[in-house]
Amino acid sequence: MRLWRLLRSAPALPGYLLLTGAIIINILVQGPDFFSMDNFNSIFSVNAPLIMAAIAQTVVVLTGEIDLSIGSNMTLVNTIAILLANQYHWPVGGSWLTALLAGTLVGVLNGLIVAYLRIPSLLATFSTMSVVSGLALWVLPKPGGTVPSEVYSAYGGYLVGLPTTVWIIATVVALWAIISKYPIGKYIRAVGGRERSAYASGIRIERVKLFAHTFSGFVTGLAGLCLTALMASGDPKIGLPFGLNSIAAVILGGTILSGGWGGIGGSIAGALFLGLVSNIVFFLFNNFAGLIPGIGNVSSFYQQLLSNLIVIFGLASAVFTPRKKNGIGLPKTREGMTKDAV
Amino acid sequence: MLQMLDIGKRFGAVTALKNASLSLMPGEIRALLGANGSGKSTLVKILGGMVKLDSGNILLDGKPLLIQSPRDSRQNAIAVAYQDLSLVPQLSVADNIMLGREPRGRAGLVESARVRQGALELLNRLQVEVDPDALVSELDTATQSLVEVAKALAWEPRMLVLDEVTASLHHDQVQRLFALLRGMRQSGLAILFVSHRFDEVFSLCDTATVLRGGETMSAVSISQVDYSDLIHAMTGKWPEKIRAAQLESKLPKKRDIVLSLSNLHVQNKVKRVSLKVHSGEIVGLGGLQGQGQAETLRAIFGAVSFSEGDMVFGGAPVKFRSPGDAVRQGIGFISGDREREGVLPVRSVTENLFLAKMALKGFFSTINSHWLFTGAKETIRQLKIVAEGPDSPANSLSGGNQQKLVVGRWLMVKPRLLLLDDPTKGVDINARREIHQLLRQMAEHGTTIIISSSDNEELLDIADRILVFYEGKVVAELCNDQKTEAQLVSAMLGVNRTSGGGDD
Repeated sequence: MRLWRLLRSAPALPGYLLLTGAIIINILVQGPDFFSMDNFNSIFSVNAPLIMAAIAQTVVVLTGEIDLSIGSNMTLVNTIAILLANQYHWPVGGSWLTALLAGTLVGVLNGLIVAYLRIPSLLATFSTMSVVSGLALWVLPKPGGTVPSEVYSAYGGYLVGLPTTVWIIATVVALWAIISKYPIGKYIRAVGGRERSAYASGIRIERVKLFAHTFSGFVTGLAGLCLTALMASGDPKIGLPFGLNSIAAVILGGTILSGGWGGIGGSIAGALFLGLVSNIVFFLFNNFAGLIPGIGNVSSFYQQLLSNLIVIFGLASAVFTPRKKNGIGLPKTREGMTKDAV
Repeated sequence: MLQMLDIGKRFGAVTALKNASLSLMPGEIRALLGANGSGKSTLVKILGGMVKLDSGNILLDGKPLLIQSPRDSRQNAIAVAYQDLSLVPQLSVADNIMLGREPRGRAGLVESARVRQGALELLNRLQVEVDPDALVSELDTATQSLVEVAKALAWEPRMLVLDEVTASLHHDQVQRLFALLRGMRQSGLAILFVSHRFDEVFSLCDTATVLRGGETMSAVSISQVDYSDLIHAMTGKWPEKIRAAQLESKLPKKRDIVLSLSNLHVQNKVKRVSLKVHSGEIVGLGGLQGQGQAETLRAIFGAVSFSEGDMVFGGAPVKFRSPGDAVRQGIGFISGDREREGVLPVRSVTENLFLAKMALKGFFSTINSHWLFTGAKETIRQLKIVAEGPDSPANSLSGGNQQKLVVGRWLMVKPRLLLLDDPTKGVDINARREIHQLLRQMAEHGTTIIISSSDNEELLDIADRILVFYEGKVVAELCNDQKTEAQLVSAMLGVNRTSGGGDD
């Protein structure tokens, strides 16, 4: 009973449930191969960029804002890292750090516009999205460039028995866990939960929003670097799908878009769910579609159709599960002191 | 200690405050009184730093004090408990209480154990029994108000501003709060108490400042005035003897039964409630907060489903699946929770007034805007709604006028049955009286009215018959000479079932 209560009040519940479902189906369609370490490694290294983007998005969404520029910010990071290392022959470390800094600065810019100019984040980040993708196109007009093989093999390899990407994700999660222990962690949720109340409590809303966007920019930078290591080249369109997918992952993870309720655990589960869905559909078509005549030659179209249908189903269930009639979380069950009043 | 001198504030074309002054001494409990729209809330918001003043001075201990933000106000030991709460629903009770002043340990980390402990101490002082780990959104409104008070106290203020926090509290809760406040004034706490309940003001406060039209009309000592003096200061009129006149005109006439419920059951909240209501009758639902009155009304309206029981409306058995069904059958509903269930805040007065009437039409039926405009003007005049015009948004109106909008909305469709759930919560005495008169008029024209209220005076005043709820059951029915405050209070405390009774 207590466990059930705890689970029900956990915002990430829909994310975890969906992920569990996806894992079970994946095992069914893929067979025992699923349980190999190499399979886990490939799942994590392919999906690490989206997981990081989802974490970045979550922090902003928790303050009640949204960041549409995450995808183009990742592109910018990718193009800068590739350009500096390939064309200007900077050391990989230096060029990647510069790219990370650029990603963080985009976050700072978003934060300044949203917090101090008080432009709604939907508009503000929509415009930075265009500006930043223009910038990326200016940095690297056409796809190209390479990444040293040590980098991408390290990215796809293992570190002390676990996939490297798991370590990267764990580091970011730990960082966020520490931040959550500081007052700012509470303030982020308070601002998203009810901005007026947070303000009336003496919290400096602007700083909280600036911090959230800056942190989000930094994690987006990391996401861009992961993407660069994964793709091992530069492309001015590389980050395109991540903008909306990061929002989808956040919703799948049970975080409420109006802010104040949710967490990065759910978003990671949501991102993995998105990754597993394409996995499932791939294996489904690979292993079983051949049995249906006439479907083989158009399969990539159907694959996409099917995975998007599954995602819609996931989004719908994530949106409807945690919400009770009265708003957030559990139904109103507690009486406070009125019951024992007499 | 604190002085506010000649405070002025304008919002666009509306002057909220001009020449408002206020002073507060250590250990003083001062009431801030005024009709809705008199500038009370604005003055409180200036003190809390939510609104910046245009002109005037605030002096703290003789030195000028500049309040630019809530932070400034809190740092100068002024804490405000707001009527519309400064709580974050998604955070726990403890996190809310300590929000903005979390105890921090090594490396600046929040020590959640001390957060919890500090919150628990405050809750114990207020005698609120609530789990500090519960989310604020799970609490009923009375408990939320008390948590709001605890949150203000967490700042260890020298000056505590209570903005209508007692509006949703019940008698015993109010008494406990007052006992605590009286204790704290001994240690020099200054309290500014905003309330519409005169009995509370007279039992708690030493002095009162009365605002009218943004100006300070009088600053008096409570022991030297009576109700009518204060009402005169608030309204500029001497109160008429409405009640006496109305008692004579009430003749119990038995007419046909409009609504009858038998053995109504709503999960965990309402247990086997039966009632019969006649046409043109005003039935009051009394009792402590959360004893099933709200759920009963909502079950009738189709907003909550009932698991057992029968409902007969207008002679035919019915069970509404949605409020829309109920409205089409001629039932109206007015909630005291204006923000959530009442007005559309950013839409115009006209749209708010015509909302129920529109809901009876189809999605694409034609609307004559001229007719709307004149209709709205007529209603505004009739209900004495204070608004700039039919086009101004509903949230530019004061609370009492917003509530009049909602009453006007139903007045237009002339429902056969009107349900009201604590409709005058946080509404000033003048607007409340006007709303009561409207309800009586509607009743005379044959509308049946069921009204629940947390205010005993209101129930005794308006209802022909009072049903008292206790733990989801109707425990008493009071009419005619049984309709006294003593009877009502003893029934709502469930005195005949528990031996202990209330603690006061």
